[in-house]
Amino acid sequence: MKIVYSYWDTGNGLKKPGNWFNTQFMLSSMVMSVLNSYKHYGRVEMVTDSASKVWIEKLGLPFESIRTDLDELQKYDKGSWALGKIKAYSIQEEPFLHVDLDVILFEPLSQKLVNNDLYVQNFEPFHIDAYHKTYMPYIELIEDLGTDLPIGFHDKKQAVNLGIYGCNNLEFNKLYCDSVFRFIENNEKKFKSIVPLHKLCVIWEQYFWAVIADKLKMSIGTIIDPHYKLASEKGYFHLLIDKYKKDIADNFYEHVKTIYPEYYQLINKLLEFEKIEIHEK
Amino acid sequence: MALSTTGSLSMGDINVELGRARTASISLDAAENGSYATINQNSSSKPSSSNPATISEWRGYNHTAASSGGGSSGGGTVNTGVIWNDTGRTISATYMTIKANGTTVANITLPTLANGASFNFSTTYTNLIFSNGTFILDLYTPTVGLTSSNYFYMTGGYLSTNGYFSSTGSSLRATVTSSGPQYSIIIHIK
Repeated sequence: MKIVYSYWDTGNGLKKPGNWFNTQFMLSSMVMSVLNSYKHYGRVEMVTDSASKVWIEKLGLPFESIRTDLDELQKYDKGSWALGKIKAYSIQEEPFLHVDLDVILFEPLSQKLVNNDLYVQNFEPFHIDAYHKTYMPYIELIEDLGTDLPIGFHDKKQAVNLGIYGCNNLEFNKLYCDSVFRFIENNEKKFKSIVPLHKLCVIWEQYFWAVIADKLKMSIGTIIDPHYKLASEKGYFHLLIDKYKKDIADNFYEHVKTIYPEYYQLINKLLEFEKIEIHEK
Repeated sequence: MALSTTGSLSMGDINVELGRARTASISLDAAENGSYATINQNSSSKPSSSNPATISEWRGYNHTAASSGGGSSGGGTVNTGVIWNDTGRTISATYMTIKANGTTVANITLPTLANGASFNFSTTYTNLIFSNGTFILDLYTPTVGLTSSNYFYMTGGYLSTNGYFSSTGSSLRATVTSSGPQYSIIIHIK
């Protein structure tokens, strides 16, 4: 199976990666994630932009290719940061598993899970308050002012968490990605003056996905339940909001130093080259 | 926790919010430019990188504010684990707790497990232990199918020691150590 990663430089470069405590945490997580995926599946691909390709190559990770298709996103607002993922999904021509950089598959996924049409981390049903609060204000905003919405948008049942997105149905994938780009093309400018665009990413990435999959009656596998109690898989690790925590950043850096010393050296070289301060524990 | 919106606010407070030592050397301008840690764009209040840099810009800043547009709608880390019943008998307990170097990483109802069956669960095992880890498993009473001749071990990256169960009164408890890494909570009960 082909494992796909993506990284879109949304304006801050390697010096200030969005959503991470610091650069070395992101690089450590990237190393751990990619090497575990490679160990289980033997095929990893990176989809990025030309500027980021330069430093990604310096890490020496075993990507079979480092594609630069995200250069095509230049015309879009960087606030719509999840477009990098959508673009990476959209160019796939065979079944694939996209893994976020803060997700690590310490164990391979079960055959039962990957036999589904689609598989993701978990459902996010709106009868649970936390998900309702995350999604509903923006769904209602888009309902009022948006155009080019997917069929089923008004159902308002659930979204999914796409920390991973496994896809065996490329027809679904094309419909989904086309739907997102159509929405963005026709709505991004309008919403930019109303709401920070990054607030809408979960709607068109994770809610559109669930709506379209539901309408197409896809079989969907999940790894954990919406309450984060039960699981169907072992060794699935997702940092989520802990990407901002210093102690976990230190833990990851230490991990790479211990388990992957050659990559630890490469990370340090890259940080020195980019003149980025190295934080020791 | 976000920085206070009222009252005094010190450079030390900003250091702590950014996850640094309170007394660490800090430049306000460098902090606002993200030199110590990336400014969390999910915080509803956040400092601007424009100069002049002022301490009041930091009021209300929450460095760990959850994202509503960060691709993930949940909270902290997910690390899924599994417990296997290899005892040769059906086992059950009311619930189980697992501690990793003193931190509770799972506390969950345990279903009845037939011999050879397993139970997957989500844990908060975040600070991964690479060496010299101590893991404690408590299976709370009433338990079925378990005695002091049963033990558990872990295989989430390295083979731990065997830990035999003994009664604490309210639970059957066993402790194992692992000189190597345990990436996930993968438990076998024999």
